[in-house]
Amino acid sequence: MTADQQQAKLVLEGLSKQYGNFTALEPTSLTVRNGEFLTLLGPSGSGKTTLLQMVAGLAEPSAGRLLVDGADWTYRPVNERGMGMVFQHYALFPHMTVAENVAFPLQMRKLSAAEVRSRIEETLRKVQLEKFSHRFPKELSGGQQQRVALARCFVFNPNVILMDEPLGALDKALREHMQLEIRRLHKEYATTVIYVTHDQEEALVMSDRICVMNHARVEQLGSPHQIYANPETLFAATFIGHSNVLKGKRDGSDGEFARVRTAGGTFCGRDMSRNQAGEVALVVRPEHMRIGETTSAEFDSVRGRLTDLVYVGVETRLLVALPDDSILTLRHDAAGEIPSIGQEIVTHWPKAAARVVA
Amino acid sequence: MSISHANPRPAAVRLGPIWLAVPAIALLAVFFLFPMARLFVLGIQDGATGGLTTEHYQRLLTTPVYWSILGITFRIAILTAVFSVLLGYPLALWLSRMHSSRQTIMALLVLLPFWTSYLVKTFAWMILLGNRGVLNTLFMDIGLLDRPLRMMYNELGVIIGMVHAMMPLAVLTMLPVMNGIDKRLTLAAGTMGAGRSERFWLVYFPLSVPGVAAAGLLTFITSLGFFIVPAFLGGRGQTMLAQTIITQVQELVNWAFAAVLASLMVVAALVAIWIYNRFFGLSTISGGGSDSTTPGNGPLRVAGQKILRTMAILSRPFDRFDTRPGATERGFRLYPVLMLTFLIAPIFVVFPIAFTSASSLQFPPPGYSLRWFEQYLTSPVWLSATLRSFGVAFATALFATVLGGLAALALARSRSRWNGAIFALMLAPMVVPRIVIAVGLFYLMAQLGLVATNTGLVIGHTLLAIPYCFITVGAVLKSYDWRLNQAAETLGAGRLTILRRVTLPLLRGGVISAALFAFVTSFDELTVAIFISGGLKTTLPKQMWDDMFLQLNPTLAAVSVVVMLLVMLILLAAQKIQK
Repeated sequence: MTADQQQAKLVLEGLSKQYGNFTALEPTSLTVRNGEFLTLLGPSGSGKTTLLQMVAGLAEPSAGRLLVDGADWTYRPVNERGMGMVFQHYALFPHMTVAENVAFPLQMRKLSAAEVRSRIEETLRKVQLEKFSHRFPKELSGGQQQRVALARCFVFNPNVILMDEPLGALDKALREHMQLEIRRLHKEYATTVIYVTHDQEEALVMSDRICVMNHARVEQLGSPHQIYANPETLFAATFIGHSNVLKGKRDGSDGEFARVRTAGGTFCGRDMSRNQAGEVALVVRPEHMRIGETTSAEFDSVRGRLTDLVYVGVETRLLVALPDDSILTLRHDAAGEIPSIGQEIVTHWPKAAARVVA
Repeated sequence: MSISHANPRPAAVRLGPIWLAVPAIALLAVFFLFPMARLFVLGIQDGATGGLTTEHYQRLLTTPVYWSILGITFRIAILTAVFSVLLGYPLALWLSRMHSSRQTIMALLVLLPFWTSYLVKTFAWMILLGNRGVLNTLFMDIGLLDRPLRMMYNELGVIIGMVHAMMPLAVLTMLPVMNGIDKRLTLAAGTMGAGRSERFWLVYFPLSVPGVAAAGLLTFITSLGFFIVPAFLGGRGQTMLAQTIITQVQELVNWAFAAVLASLMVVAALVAIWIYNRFFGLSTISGGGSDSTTPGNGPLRVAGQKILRTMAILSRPFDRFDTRPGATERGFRLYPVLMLTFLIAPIFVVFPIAFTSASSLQFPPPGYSLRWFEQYLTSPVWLSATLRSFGVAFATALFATVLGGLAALALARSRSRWNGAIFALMLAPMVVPRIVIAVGLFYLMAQLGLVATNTGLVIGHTLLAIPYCFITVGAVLKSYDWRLNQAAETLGAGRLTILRRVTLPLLRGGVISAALFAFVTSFDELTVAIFISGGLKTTLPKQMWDDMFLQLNPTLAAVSVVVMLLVMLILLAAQKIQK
């Protein structure tokens, strides 16, 4: 099934938000597909939460439109949208028990008491909280509160669920567990999810597609693999995963490959840059770089000095300083002998693995 | 998709949250601001022609007796403020060092005298300080005195009564500021080599000054308009401005001159507030931090620092008393016990008198009986006054909580440039002397035909109670998490449902406390009642006031006991709910 055949759930047409002179979101157009898990990924202040709030109806757009299933929902009141939302600090009602919290959206929809009871039971079982239904939120751990927030959201089967950094307050181990849990719930309920996070690893683990945001606009939209393998901007290349960056000037292109002239030499890479002139950067993922000389035309190489060795458990990383003081990170392959600090090193990488970005 | 034409935003009329304050603003505008303005105009208007005149002010300037009354009023108000703050400071300090759960309980010992009716407190002091009162009898029995010491109908009596009346206010104003001082700061000063004196005078005390100043301001302004204590505990030489205003209105019906005196009192209060605001900012009074004002670096500040350094040096020799562990703890405990005794014990003197078998206020009572309670419960006058007070207080509690609560909600949700002005207006009835409000209200209500009606009383009491409700509800709103409203909205709840299911249940404690405080404010209120309640149908405080003038009798003690128990009950309920 291609992207075009998939039904569009939400369409944003030039949606923007202005607070006085401050631009929280530049005009943004975006299509969210039915049933997909879309992550808005970016640092704080990149406009991702603003975008989410406008979709939820918690903030009013300054311009643009929001279409849901083809209908204009730009100014539809929040409580009539029927979208589920999981808040950053859960926003559980402190004066209601777990069961009452989960019952709330059902009561708003005037379901019968019997129906409410069975739905609560079923949902709490799915998040493994059936034993805690009579506890108050403050009597639960952070992870349990998180699950209540999820239950309260999934219980009314919303066809769009918005999550605003829902795992931000949890420790690393719990966060990783909850990532899988949310993925499972997403599949089970077959809903469309828009997920906001600043954690690139989380975005890679959970998403069908990632929307990378920076400076109040979208940098790149694509599947985790597309974004990791083919970053289109320097920001996308460095924010998601690690990239070695060689900055320089564009020096010609044959359409598919472009040449970049840097302080350490001229290199080749697949041309991803949208702006055709001026400052660009060649980015190479550490796993594509190898130590040693090569004469093959398929490869580019650069000479540097080993400045440090970093042991991170699964591998040892080599930090190599180039003559222009930029630092490259290399993985040390288990087979080879570890060079000593201060030693001169030559590293090479396949031209096909390098990307030229703006 | 090719829908490209513009989509107009729906043209619904949206009322901003600021509109929630409108009912309270309207009430205060009509029954508070307007009468005050009228009163001011009365003072500069010629009674016959309606033209402008300075005649009434000239009369003030040329009559020495009014000069001396002004002088006495300021003297007593300043002395009361100084003693209340000075004596209250260590007590507040002691309370602020406790764990919050213990502090809540101990603070009740200050809240009880705070909410006890001024009439009951004054009546208690009359029993204690009289020539044949409890203290004189006691001192002569143990041979400390051969003949009674005059402690009443003079300045001593007035100051004792006033300080007793105002100290709880001073303590309760300073306590939140002291609670807000970071305890680690004095510890940090210790690690830098500061001794006990330096830690207090150079670090802790300067941080507590906003509280001290706020306490001074509030006690000064309240004392300025006070008349109950001087009326009963003072002599002719202690007549204060408020008493003179009452005389001018009720006996001489000289409105113009009463207006002049009232205007003077308001000006004095405004000047005090202005000075305070210059240095500390008004937000300290409402419990907020004074972060908006940065300390200047003028000569005043330099002088202040010099004084503090001198104080630190002067008190340093006493630091060594600190070396034995527990020594200061004991000394530090004795003072609060003394002060709390001073605040509470006098009030309880009404209990034995209420159960006396004698028909005088003799102490100790020769025997015990329930005859005075019987007298109270079978007297149609007392009973109707009691019922009326209850009715008015219930209505006041309802209206003040709704109006004040909505105004607090409005300010919490709105970023309007009117916020500051509305905030000031909501607190204004608390800082303008009550006697002025009452006189202005009387003038207006006489014209509207509201004098001697329950409606008039409820309106008057509601505007006096609004500041308390506004502050109480505002305080719980500060810690309210507004994201819960967003959460409820995304879950499908409309505005009214959110208010009913989320906001109100979470604010329940604050709202109920506000209602209870409004109830007590009305139930205890005398000033407005003196003017508005009319001759035959009175309220309980008004009936007590009349009886205390006519003849002191044990029925008053019985009534006092009933009133006190009721207030205590309400206070405990409020405390329990707020937790």
